Amino acid sequence: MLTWGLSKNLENSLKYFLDTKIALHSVTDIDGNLIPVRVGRKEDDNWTLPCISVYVESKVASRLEIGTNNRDETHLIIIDIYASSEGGEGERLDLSDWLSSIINDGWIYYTYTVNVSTPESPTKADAGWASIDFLTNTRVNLGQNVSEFDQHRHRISVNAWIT
Amino acid sequence: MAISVRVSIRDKTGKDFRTTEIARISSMSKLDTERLARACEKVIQQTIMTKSAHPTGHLASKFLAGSIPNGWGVGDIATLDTEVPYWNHVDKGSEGIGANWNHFLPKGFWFNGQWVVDGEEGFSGIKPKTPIQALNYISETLAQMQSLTPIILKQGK
Repeated sequence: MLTWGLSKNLENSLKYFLDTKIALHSVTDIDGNLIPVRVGRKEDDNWTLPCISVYVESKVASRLEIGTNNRDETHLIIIDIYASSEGGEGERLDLSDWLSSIINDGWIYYTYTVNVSTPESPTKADAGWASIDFLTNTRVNLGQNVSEFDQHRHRISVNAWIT
Repeated sequence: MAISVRVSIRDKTGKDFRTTEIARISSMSKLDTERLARACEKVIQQTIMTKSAHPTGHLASKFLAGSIPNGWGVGDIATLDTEVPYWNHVDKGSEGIGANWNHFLPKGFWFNGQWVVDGEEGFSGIKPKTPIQALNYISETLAQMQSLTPIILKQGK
Protein backbone atom coordinates (compact mmCIF):
# COMPACT_ATOMS: atom_id res chain seq x y z
CA MET A 1 0.00 0.00 0.00
CA LEU A 2 1.31 3.45 -0.89
CA THR A 3 2.00 5.80 1.97
CA TRP A 4 -0.04 9.00 2.06
CA GLY A 5 1.40 11.68 -0.19
CA LEU A 6 1.74 15.39 0.41
CA SER A 7 -1.76 16.29 -0.81
CA LYS A 8 -3.52 13.80 1.43
CA ASN A 9 -1.33 14.76 4.39
CA LEU A 10 -2.14 18.41 3.75
CA GLU A 11 -5.88 17.76 3.62
CA ASN A 12 -5.84 15.76 6.83
CA SER A 13 -3.55 18.22 8.62
CA LEU A 14 -6.04 20.97 7.81
CA LYS A 15 -8.95 18.84 8.99
CA TYR A 16 -7.15 18.09 12.25
CA PHE A 17 -6.35 21.79 12.72
CA LEU A 18 -9.95 22.85 12.06
CA ASP A 19 -11.41 20.09 14.27
CA THR A 20 -9.14 21.21 17.11
CA LYS A 21 -10.05 24.88 16.71
CA ILE A 22 -13.76 24.13 16.37
CA ALA A 23 -13.67 22.27 19.68
CA LEU A 24 -11.50 24.95 21.31
CA HIS A 25 -13.71 27.84 20.20
CA SER A 26 -16.98 25.90 20.57
CA VAL A 27 -18.03 26.54 16.98
CA THR A 28 -21.45 24.93 16.95
CA ASP A 29 -24.66 24.97 14.96
CA ILE A 30 -27.86 26.39 16.39
CA ASP A 31 -28.51 23.13 18.29
CA GLY A 32 -25.12 23.21 19.99
CA ASN A 33 -23.48 20.50 17.86
CA LEU A 34 -19.87 21.00 16.82
CA ILE A 35 -19.54 21.74 13.09
CA PRO A 36 -18.16 18.64 11.33
CA VAL A 37 -15.23 18.90 8.91
CA ARG A 38 -15.10 16.51 5.96
CA VAL A 39 -12.22 15.74 3.65
CA GLY A 40 -13.27 15.53 0.02
CA ARG A 41 -16.11 16.64 -2.20
CA LYS A 42 -19.72 16.08 -1.32
CA GLU A 43 -20.34 12.67 -2.83
CA ASP A 44 -23.07 11.04 -0.80
CA ASP A 45 -26.28 11.85 1.01
CA ASN A 46 -25.09 11.27 4.57
CA TRP A 47 -23.66 14.76 4.94
CA THR A 48 -25.56 17.02 7.28
CA LEU A 49 -25.87 20.78 7.42
CA PRO A 50 -23.92 22.75 8.46
CA CYS A 51 -20.54 21.30 7.54
CA ILE A 52 -17.16 22.26 6.14
CA SER A 53 -15.43 20.32 3.40
CA VAL A 54 -11.76 20.60 2.49
CA TYR A 55 -9.81 19.07 -0.37
CA VAL A 56 -6.71 19.62 -2.45
CA GLU A 57 -7.78 20.34 -6.00
CA SER A 58 -4.47 20.63 -7.83
CA LYS A 59 -0.90 21.80 -7.53
CA VAL A 60 1.43 24.13 -9.37
CA ALA A 61 5.13 23.25 -9.37
CA SER A 62 7.12 26.03 -10.98
CA ARG A 63 10.91 25.71 -11.13
CA LEU A 64 12.49 27.13 -8.00
CA GLU A 65 15.90 28.01 -9.44
CA ILE A 66 17.94 27.61 -12.60
CA GLY A 67 20.25 24.61 -12.62
CA THR A 68 18.33 22.22 -10.39
CA ASN A 69 15.07 20.37 -10.54
CA ASN A 70 13.90 21.79 -7.23
CA ARG A 71 10.29 22.87 -7.40
CA ASP A 72 8.31 25.58 -5.72
CA GLU A 73 5.14 23.59 -5.09
CA THR A 74 1.89 25.26 -4.14
CA HIS A 75 -1.34 23.38 -3.57
CA LEU A 76 -4.77 24.72 -4.41
CA ILE A 77 -7.06 23.92 -1.47
CA ILE A 78 -10.82 24.32 -1.79
CA ILE A 79 -12.74 24.93 1.43
CA ASP A 80 -16.52 24.76 1.04
CA ILE A 81 -18.75 25.90 3.88
CA TYR A 82 -22.22 24.37 3.62
CA ALA A 83 -24.20 26.55 6.02
CA SER A 84 -27.85 26.23 6.96
CA SER A 85 -28.62 29.93 7.16
CA GLU A 86 -27.54 33.16 5.54
CA GLY A 87 -28.38 36.37 7.34
CA GLY A 88 -30.73 35.74 10.26
CA GLU A 89 -28.49 33.57 12.40
CA GLY A 90 -25.62 34.58 10.14
CA GLU A 91 -24.17 31.09 10.01
CA ARG A 92 -22.56 31.40 6.57
CA LEU A 93 -21.12 34.84 7.31
CA ASP A 94 -19.95 33.94 10.82
CA LEU A 95 -18.41 30.64 9.76
CA SER A 96 -16.59 32.16 6.79
CA ASP A 97 -15.24 35.05 8.88
CA TRP A 98 -14.14 32.70 11.65
CA LEU A 99 -12.57 30.22 9.24
CA SER A 100 -10.64 32.77 7.19
CA SER A 101 -9.21 34.35 10.33
CA ILE A 102 -8.27 30.99 11.86
CA ILE A 103 -6.37 29.69 8.80
CA ASN A 104 -4.72 33.02 8.07
CA ASP A 105 -1.54 32.20 9.99
CA GLY A 106 -1.32 28.65 8.61
CA TRP A 107 -1.26 25.34 10.47
CA ILE A 108 1.05 22.47 11.40
CA TYR A 109 1.67 20.10 8.52
CA TYR A 110 1.72 16.44 9.59
CA THR A 111 2.78 13.33 7.72
CA TYR A 112 0.49 10.39 8.39
CA THR A 113 1.42 6.73 8.60
CA VAL A 114 -1.44 4.33 8.19
CA ASN A 115 -1.44 1.25 10.35
CA VAL A 116 -3.10 -1.72 8.66
CA SER A 117 -4.70 -2.94 11.88
CA THR A 118 -6.19 0.48 12.74
CA PRO A 119 -6.56 2.36 9.43
CA GLU A 120 -9.09 4.79 10.92
CA SER A 121 -6.49 6.31 13.23
CA PRO A 122 -3.21 6.87 11.39
CA THR A 123 -0.10 7.95 13.29
CA LYS A 124 0.90 11.54 12.60
CA ALA A 125 4.24 13.30 12.90
CA ASP A 126 4.97 17.03 12.83
CA ALA A 127 6.69 17.73 9.47
CA GLY A 128 6.49 21.46 8.83
CA TRP A 129 4.20 24.44 8.56
CA ALA A 130 1.55 25.10 5.94
CA SER A 131 1.26 28.74 4.88
CA ILE A 132 -1.40 30.17 2.61
CA ASP A 133 -2.38 32.92 0.22
CA PHE A 134 -6.09 33.60 -0.20
CA LEU A 135 -7.33 33.33 -3.79
CA THR A 136 -11.09 33.68 -3.38
CA ASN A 137 -13.41 34.10 -0.41
CA THR A 138 -16.99 34.53 -1.47
CA ARG A 139 -20.57 33.30 -1.36
CA VAL A 140 -21.43 30.65 -3.93
CA ASN A 141 -24.35 32.16 -5.80
CA LEU A 142 -26.12 29.55 -7.88
CA GLY A 143 -29.29 31.55 -8.41
CA GLN A 144 -32.77 31.13 -7.00
CA ASN A 145 -34.55 27.95 -5.98
CA VAL A 146 -31.46 25.82 -5.44
CA SER A 147 -31.25 22.78 -3.16
CA GLU A 148 -30.75 23.31 0.57
CA PHE A 149 -27.09 22.25 0.38
CA ASP A 150 -26.42 24.96 -2.19
CA GLN A 151 -28.54 27.71 -0.66
CA HIS A 152 -26.02 29.05 1.85
CA ARG A 153 -22.69 27.92 0.50
CA HIS A 154 -19.47 29.82 0.88
CA ARG A 155 -16.20 29.00 -0.78
CA ILE A 156 -12.68 29.89 0.27
CA SER A 157 -9.86 28.87 -2.05
CA VAL A 158 -6.25 29.20 -0.98
CA ASN A 159 -2.81 28.46 -2.32
CA ALA A 160 -0.83 26.53 0.30
CA TRP A 161 2.82 25.64 0.57
CA ILE A 162 4.89 23.75 3.12
CA THR A 163 7.96 25.17 4.84
CA MET B 1 18.76 84.45 6.32
CA ALA B 2 16.79 81.44 5.18
CA ILE B 3 17.20 80.26 1.65
CA SER B 4 14.61 78.12 -0.02
CA VAL B 5 15.50 76.15 -3.12
CA ARG B 6 12.90 74.76 -5.45
CA VAL B 7 13.98 71.90 -7.67
CA SER B 8 11.94 70.92 -10.67
CA ILE B 9 12.86 67.93 -12.78
CA ARG B 10 12.17 68.21 -16.45
CA ASP B 11 12.63 65.88 -19.35
CA LYS B 12 14.95 66.68 -22.21
CA THR B 13 12.28 68.66 -24.07
CA GLY B 14 11.59 70.79 -20.99
CA LYS B 15 8.27 69.22 -19.97
CA ASP B 16 7.54 68.36 -16.35
CA PHE B 17 9.25 65.02 -15.77
CA ARG B 18 6.62 63.77 -13.30
CA THR B 19 3.79 64.25 -15.81
CA THR B 20 5.79 62.43 -18.47
CA GLU B 21 6.60 59.59 -16.08
CA ILE B 22 2.99 59.21 -14.93
CA ALA B 23 1.85 59.04 -18.55
CA ARG B 24 4.52 56.45 -19.33
CA ILE B 25 3.66 54.28 -16.31
CA SER B 26 -0.04 54.55 -17.09
CA SER B 27 0.55 53.41 -20.66
CA MET B 28 2.80 50.53 -19.51
CA SER B 29 0.24 49.41 -16.92
CA LYS B 30 -2.49 49.29 -19.54
CA LEU B 31 -0.32 47.11 -21.76
CA ASP B 32 0.63 44.85 -18.84
CA THR B 33 -2.97 44.33 -17.71
CA GLU B 34 -3.98 43.55 -21.29
CA ARG B 35 -1.19 40.99 -21.62
CA LEU B 36 -2.15 39.43 -18.28
CA ALA B 37 -5.81 39.27 -19.34
CA ARG B 38 -4.96 37.65 -22.66
CA ALA B 39 -2.76 35.07 -20.90
CA CYS B 40 -5.53 34.48 -18.34
CA GLU B 41 -8.01 33.92 -21.18
CA LYS B 42 -5.83 31.12 -22.54
CA VAL B 43 -5.30 29.56 -19.10
CA ILE B 44 -9.00 29.52 -18.19
CA GLN B 45 -10.00 28.12 -21.58
CA GLN B 46 -7.36 25.40 -21.38
CA THR B 47 -8.35 24.58 -17.79
CA ILE B 48 -12.00 24.15 -18.74
CA MET B 49 -11.16 21.99 -21.76
CA THR B 50 -8.73 19.85 -19.78
CA LYS B 51 -10.88 19.30 -16.71
CA SER B 52 -14.28 18.77 -18.34
CA ALA B 53 -15.23 15.15 -18.82
CA HIS B 54 -16.84 15.87 -22.18
CA PRO B 55 -15.68 19.30 -23.34
CA THR B 56 -17.53 20.84 -26.27
CA GLY B 57 -15.69 24.15 -26.18
CA HIS B 58 -18.92 26.11 -25.75
CA LEU B 59 -18.27 27.18 -22.16
CA ALA B 60 -14.56 27.84 -22.76
CA SER B 61 -15.30 30.00 -25.79
CA LYS B 62 -17.34 32.42 -23.66
CA PHE B 63 -14.41 33.36 -21.40
CA LEU B 64 -12.83 36.17 -23.38
CA ALA B 65 -10.48 38.97 -22.40
CA GLY B 66 -11.96 42.42 -22.79
CA SER B 67 -11.30 45.95 -21.68
CA ILE B 68 -13.28 47.25 -18.72
CA PRO B 69 -13.19 50.64 -16.99
CA ASN B 70 -9.71 51.04 -15.48
CA GLY B 71 -8.24 47.88 -16.95
CA TRP B 72 -8.91 44.51 -18.50
CA GLY B 73 -10.95 41.52 -17.40
CA VAL B 74 -11.74 37.97 -18.48
CA GLY B 75 -15.32 36.72 -18.72
CA ASP B 76 -18.21 39.15 -18.74
CA ILE B 77 -20.69 37.95 -16.11
CA ALA B 78 -23.76 39.34 -17.90
CA THR B 79 -22.75 37.49 -21.08
CA LEU B 80 -21.95 34.31 -19.17
CA ASP B 81 -25.30 34.41 -17.35
CA THR B 82 -27.12 34.76 -20.66
CA GLU B 83 -25.18 32.43 -22.92
CA VAL B 84 -23.81 29.77 -20.52
CA PRO B 85 -25.99 30.10 -17.39
CA TYR B 86 -24.45 26.92 -15.90
CA TRP B 87 -20.94 28.42 -15.75
CA ASN B 88 -21.02 28.91 -11.98
CA HIS B 89 -22.57 25.50 -11.29
CA VAL B 90 -19.84 23.80 -13.28
CA ASP B 91 -17.16 25.80 -11.47
CA LYS B 92 -18.37 25.35 -7.89
CA GLY B 93 -20.30 22.10 -8.30
CA SER B 94 -23.93 21.88 -7.28
CA GLU B 95 -26.78 19.64 -6.37
CA GLY B 96 -28.75 20.73 -9.40
CA ILE B 97 -29.05 23.32 -12.12
CA GLY B 98 -31.09 26.19 -10.79
CA ALA B 99 -33.50 23.93 -8.95
CA ASN B 100 -32.90 20.34 -7.91
CA TRP B 101 -32.31 16.95 -9.43
CA ASN B 102 -35.78 15.75 -8.65
CA HIS B 103 -37.16 16.37 -12.11
CA PHE B 104 -37.58 14.30 -15.25
CA LEU B 105 -35.33 14.86 -18.23
CA PRO B 106 -36.92 15.84 -21.54
CA LYS B 107 -37.24 13.08 -24.13
CA GLY B 108 -33.86 12.05 -25.45
CA PHE B 109 -30.97 9.64 -25.02
CA TRP B 110 -27.51 9.38 -23.53
CA PHE B 111 -24.69 9.86 -26.00
CA ASN B 112 -21.03 10.01 -25.08
CA GLY B 113 -21.85 10.95 -21.49
CA GLN B 114 -24.33 13.68 -22.39
CA TRP B 115 -28.12 13.78 -22.52
CA VAL B 116 -29.21 14.62 -26.06
CA VAL B 117 -32.73 16.05 -26.26
CA ASP B 118 -34.75 14.36 -29.01
CA GLY B 119 -38.09 16.01 -29.68
CA GLU B 120 -39.65 19.27 -28.54
CA GLU B 121 -42.22 17.92 -26.08
CA GLY B 122 -42.59 15.29 -23.40
CA PHE B 123 -40.43 13.80 -20.69
CA SER B 124 -38.28 10.71 -20.61
CA GLY B 125 -39.22 9.25 -17.23
CA ILE B 126 -35.54 9.39 -16.24
CA LYS B 127 -34.33 11.39 -13.27
CA PRO B 128 -30.63 12.25 -12.96
CA LYS B 129 -29.13 11.08 -9.67
CA THR B 130 -25.67 12.56 -9.51
CA PRO B 131 -24.81 16.17 -8.66
CA ILE B 132 -22.55 18.30 -10.83
CA GLN B 133 -18.92 17.84 -9.83
CA ALA B 134 -16.99 21.07 -9.25
CA LEU B 135 -14.36 21.76 -11.90
CA ASN B 136 -12.91 24.68 -9.89
CA TYR B 137 -11.62 26.20 -13.12
CA ILE B 138 -11.72 29.76 -11.76
CA SER B 139 -9.69 29.03 -8.62
CA GLU B 140 -7.28 26.91 -10.61
CA THR B 141 -6.80 29.70 -13.15
CA LEU B 142 -6.08 32.15 -10.32
CA ALA B 143 -3.59 29.71 -8.80
CA GLN B 144 -1.82 29.31 -12.13
CA MET B 145 -1.86 33.04 -12.80
CA GLN B 146 -0.19 33.66 -9.44
CA SER B 147 2.94 31.90 -10.65
CA LEU B 148 2.63 33.04 -14.28
CA THR B 149 2.20 36.77 -13.53
CA PRO B 150 5.86 37.53 -12.69
CA ILE B 151 6.98 35.65 -15.82
CA ILE B 152 4.52 37.51 -18.07
CA LEU B 153 5.49 40.88 -16.60
CA LYS B 154 9.19 40.13 -17.06
CA GLN B 155 8.63 39.26 -20.71
CA GLY B 156 7.34 42.76 -21.36
CA LYS B 157 10.47 44.51 -20.13
